[in-house]
Amino acid sequence: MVKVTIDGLEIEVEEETTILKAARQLGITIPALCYNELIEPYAVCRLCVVELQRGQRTRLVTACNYPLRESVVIRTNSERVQRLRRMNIELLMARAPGAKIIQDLAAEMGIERTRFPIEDSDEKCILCGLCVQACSDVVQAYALGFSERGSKRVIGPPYDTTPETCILCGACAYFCPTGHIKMTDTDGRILHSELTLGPNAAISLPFRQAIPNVPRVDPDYCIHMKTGGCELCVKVCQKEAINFTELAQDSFEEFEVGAVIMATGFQDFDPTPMKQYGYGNLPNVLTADEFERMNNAASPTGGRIVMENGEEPRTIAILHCVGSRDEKYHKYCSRVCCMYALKFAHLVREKTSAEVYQLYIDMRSSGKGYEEFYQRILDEGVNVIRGKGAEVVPAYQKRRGEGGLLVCCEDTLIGKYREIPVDMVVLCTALEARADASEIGRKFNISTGADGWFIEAHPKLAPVSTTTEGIYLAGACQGQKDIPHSVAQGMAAAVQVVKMFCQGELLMDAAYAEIVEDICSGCRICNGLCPYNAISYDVEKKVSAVNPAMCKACGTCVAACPSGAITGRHFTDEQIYAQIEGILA
Amino acid sequence: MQQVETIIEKHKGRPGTLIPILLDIQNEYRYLPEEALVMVSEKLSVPLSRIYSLATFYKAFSLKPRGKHSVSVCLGTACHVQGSTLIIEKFERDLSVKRGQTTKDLSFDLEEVHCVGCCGLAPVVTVDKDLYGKVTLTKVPSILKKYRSATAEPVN
Repeated sequence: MVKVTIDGLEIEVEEETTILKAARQLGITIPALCYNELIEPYAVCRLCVVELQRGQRTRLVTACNYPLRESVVIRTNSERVQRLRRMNIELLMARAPGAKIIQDLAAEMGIERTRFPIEDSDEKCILCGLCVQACSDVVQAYALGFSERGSKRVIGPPYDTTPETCILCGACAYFCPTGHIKMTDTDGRILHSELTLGPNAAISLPFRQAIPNVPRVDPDYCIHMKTGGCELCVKVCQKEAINFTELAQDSFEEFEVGAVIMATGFQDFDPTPMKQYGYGNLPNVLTADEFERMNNAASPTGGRIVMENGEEPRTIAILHCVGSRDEKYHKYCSRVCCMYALKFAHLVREKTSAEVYQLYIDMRSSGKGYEEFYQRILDEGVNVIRGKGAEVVPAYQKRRGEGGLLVCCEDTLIGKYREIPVDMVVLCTALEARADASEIGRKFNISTGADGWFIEAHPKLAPVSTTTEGIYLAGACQGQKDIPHSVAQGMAAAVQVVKMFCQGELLMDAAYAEIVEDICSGCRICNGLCPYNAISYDVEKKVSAVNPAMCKACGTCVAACPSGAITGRHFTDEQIYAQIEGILA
Repeated sequence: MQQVETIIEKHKGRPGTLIPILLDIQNEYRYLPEEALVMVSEKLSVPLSRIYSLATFYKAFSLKPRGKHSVSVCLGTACHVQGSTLIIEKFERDLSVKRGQTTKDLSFDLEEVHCVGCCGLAPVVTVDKDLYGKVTLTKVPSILKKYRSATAEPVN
């Protein structure tokens, strides 16, 4: 331990502690641009210079990388230090005039402009090398480096092209103190973001409102999984919750099951293509999912309804049928939006004093207690306009409104065109079938309809079964539906499975295809034709065989068999001829 | 790239061989081809970014093909007083390149240097390892001619 005095305050620190760390322990701020505690200090920006006194002699040292070994006196803000820092910041201003952080630091020191010539007024790089060190020491991708020397020195990948070693982790951009390095989405390899609050990383919540609501490591993007380096998360996680040895043991396991309940759900319609609503372009235009997330007590806003600038909105418009009941996107009604839109209105009225406008085509509140809830919302003073929202534009484009946005619509009840100034717009996006539904469907042998939803065995009589025995449907994967209906269907599907298990045997249709082994030539034409995957090839006997439990007696194989080896039980040629003869007799 | 492999093999197994390897490649090809650097990076397990840093740092290395002969015209004080600016301009005209560039047929590099340490001979021009003192404008074509015909005999 060494005892040092910093700005008149005494502190005892462990040997080899840097001056900067000791000062921070005392609550003394020393400006530092190129310092990051996760990276070995390189002392380039020279802003952290301090005066070090040993005996009668004083000298200037950089606080970020000067290890304390003996009792010394340090002054972090003496006249000499300030003079030097001002000079350094002026030089940095000339080097990187585009960096806001340098301008701000200069302003703090009372410097408005630099005396030195500026070469490129947009330059932001101060050649601190944090990115180079992050790339090599932390990430171990070694994609970035210094090149040239002296006044020509630059930072970049070799030959100025995206190198193969770059894993697009974004560590360079993360560590860059001046914002010189930015991640751009060149080929869609950059990830989505969680409520657009910041760039997504390898550690994130799998999706909004995930259960359990804890982050997970995505091995596809984790730097450690790619290069073996990094492990910054392990260093910063105070709960020591990240265990890479456990993560590395992730494995796929195969289960044998007797029944499957498909409950793959729906996906949200992406309103970006509907340019008229400005989603993604205009501030404070949210999808219902994002708004719901904001309302959640565990959300980044803590459940408060706020705009991007942190203020509470004064007016909110909720637009129904975004992507639903729309010839261009989905013709169907998404069923759930009207009710959750009304719930949103209720939440807004409860949490804020904002005016709420609901723009609907038809209010579909059919359900137990739903109409009553609608009446209650009307009583709460929510403005309900019958007319689909036509356009959302920035207010200044049309006229100066009180909010930042203007919602244009035709109020069909009063027969007038209206422009409503609002602060925030919530788009009630359609429920749509998951993009991978047909792929999953193929795997499980269930077909999808024109809208992409899984098709049930019979719309009225078998709403949870599929054409494949043992596979059942539950929830929104079968069609747009709300929570009560999903729960009901899920329970029904569970009962179907239990029923099947209780019986211990499968009740089969008496009609199914049979292959006469003596005639079968083993050509395997039927194998690929069977829409239910019921026919397999017996390698030993060199003949095909039908699994009667899976066969649906469609007759495709019967018609296709070139050697006439397949017959449909109860549909043999003899039986049919006999029936015809019986009719004719 | 066969030669690169031989060069790497020659130096392999000893520490601190990166610069000697690069120097040998530079001598072999008169520049450092990208493929050669990639190969060195793979064989020595040194990141390409490190090699690139090194290759751009030292003036002895070049990433672009260099000329067969390197012409350096001294622009130091004594040579300058003796009119070396005119000499280098004459070289620029005769070789149709600017200083710091290489002729299209890759036969000559033209560089300016600042004092080669024999001011008594000003103005001084060096071609490869040969030195020419008291150069005049009329001597320039004959110097170049020697190297064009590839029979290099220094004249003093």
